[in-house]
Amino acid sequence: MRILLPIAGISVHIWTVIGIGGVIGLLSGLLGIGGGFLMTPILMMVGVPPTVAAASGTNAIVATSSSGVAAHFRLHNVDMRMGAILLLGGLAGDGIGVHFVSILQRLGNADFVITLTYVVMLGLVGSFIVHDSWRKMRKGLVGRPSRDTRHRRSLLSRLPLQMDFPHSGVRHSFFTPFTLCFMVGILTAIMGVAGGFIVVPMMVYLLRMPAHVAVGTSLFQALFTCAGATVMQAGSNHIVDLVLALLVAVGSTIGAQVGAQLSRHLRGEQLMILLGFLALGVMVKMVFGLVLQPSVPISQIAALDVVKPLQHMAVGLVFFFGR
Amino acid sequence: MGAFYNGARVRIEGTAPADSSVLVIIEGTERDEFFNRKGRMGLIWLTVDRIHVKHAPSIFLRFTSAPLGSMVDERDIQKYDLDEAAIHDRVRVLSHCKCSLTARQQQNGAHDVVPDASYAALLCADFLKLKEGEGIYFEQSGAVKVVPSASGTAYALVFDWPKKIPPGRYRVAAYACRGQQVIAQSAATLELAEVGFPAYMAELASTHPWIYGIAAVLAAILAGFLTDLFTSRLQRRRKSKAPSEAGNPEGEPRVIPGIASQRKVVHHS
Repeated sequence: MRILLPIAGISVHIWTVIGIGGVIGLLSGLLGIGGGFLMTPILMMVGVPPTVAAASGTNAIVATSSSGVAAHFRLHNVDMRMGAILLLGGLAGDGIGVHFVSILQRLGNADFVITLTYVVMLGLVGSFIVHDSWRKMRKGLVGRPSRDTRHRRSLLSRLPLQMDFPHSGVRHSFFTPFTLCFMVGILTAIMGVAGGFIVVPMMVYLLRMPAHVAVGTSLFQALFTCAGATVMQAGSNHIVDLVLALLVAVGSTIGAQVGAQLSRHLRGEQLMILLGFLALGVMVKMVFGLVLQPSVPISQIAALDVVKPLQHMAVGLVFFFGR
Repeated sequence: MGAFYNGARVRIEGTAPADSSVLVIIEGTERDEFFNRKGRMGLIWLTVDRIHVKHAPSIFLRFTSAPLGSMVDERDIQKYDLDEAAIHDRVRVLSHCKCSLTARQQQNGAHDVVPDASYAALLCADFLKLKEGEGIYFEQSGAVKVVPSASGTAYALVFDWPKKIPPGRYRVAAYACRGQQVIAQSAATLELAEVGFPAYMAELASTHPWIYGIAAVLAAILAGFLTDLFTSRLQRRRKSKAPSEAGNPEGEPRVIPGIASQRKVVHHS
């Protein structure tokens, strides 16, 4: 059965779109990634114009992440205080990153730096996660902090504004997660993706949060980012297709539930190893994109800038959840 | 185009002067589009430019009763804009546009740079290749059927309207050709419009965009939470059914091993 998408103005198969949503939702609920890196290109393959695909995909991620957040919330896997600080840091970094991109563009080699940074980051993060998780799974080193970690903790514990994060079972200075996410935010602005691949490993390896809580908290952060971005895209550019978003959402919310339940049956290392392989897969795809000659050298631009209003929203959230 | 629109078959017919061949061109309204352009740097392909294409028709479909070159000469092709070279002449390509701006700011085009003629021609050729690949700029030779009739030549064109083409007003122009020249022409407007629910949604998105955006977010959150509620209830029901069906058919209270041993300890003390 086909349905007309009112904003995209094209007719699509209902089950195809729901199926796309299901796959993306499964990955989202399981690994805590928003799924934006998959959503836009797949919707474009169905024939949706790039700008509408990007904006409606963001709206669908709101549904996926709210379903995932609700499921993880029941499993006590969402650290809202940490999520709010991460959101603030990420968006602040994003704001700086946008200026950094324009400086790079003026220098004339922006895309080379951006693409190379992303490929190297994904390669390093993916390889590290796979190697570390595999080592832990083989030797049974679950949750045992290393000597380095204990030393690093003592340094970090001297920073001001120390806070407890009871859900994650950790204590950090406000500046630790803020600074880390600020740096991820800069990378996000440079690379043009939400950064779930980087945020989840960062929470696990640098903030020492349990993998399941990192996944839930990452989804919490994605929910607010995407909700703000959807309102901005609809208000400024009129390119959010609600019918498309809700069809994807039907599949993705169910997928996110299945993913969240599936994550209960997997150990933290197993979740991280899956994330690592996914990051490496995306890296390989990007390398192919760099090396192979495109059939047509031009492609329509999908993303439009909506960062600034989101930063104001994040300040409000930190105030609300950070008390 | 209703909610369950599944494409449409379009029929265009008319009468042309005797012994003429016919070509029909369907063109969309002009619009601005933005693109990334990749170029080779050493061994790799990177985005080297951002392009702003102005005055590009949203679609360009050409149907002919015979190959274009055999119907009309080069002078008339140029005079009546009958081939894609006409798009080359009309389209304005600008490079180095700022993609971090909003759509409205981008359309002002204040930051764009006018490229030199050879680069502009290259960009325009890439643009046409992309549109042909998307199936919204194409040519079908022999699609227009012509038969002699009492009043001249009757022509008819029947084709499936591409599902990728969005609603809008499209100009349909028919040209009658004889002796390598255009001898008559006529034009009409074809309007493709959404009706019912899709029309209501499209209007809401353009007239009240902020309300529409907030409603879209709330609908998505509601969808997410409802799915969660439904699946959590389903799981609870399964869990409550599972023990009684498996090993406790009479519905007796189930003894959980850990709790039973604790009770024993309390009892003895």
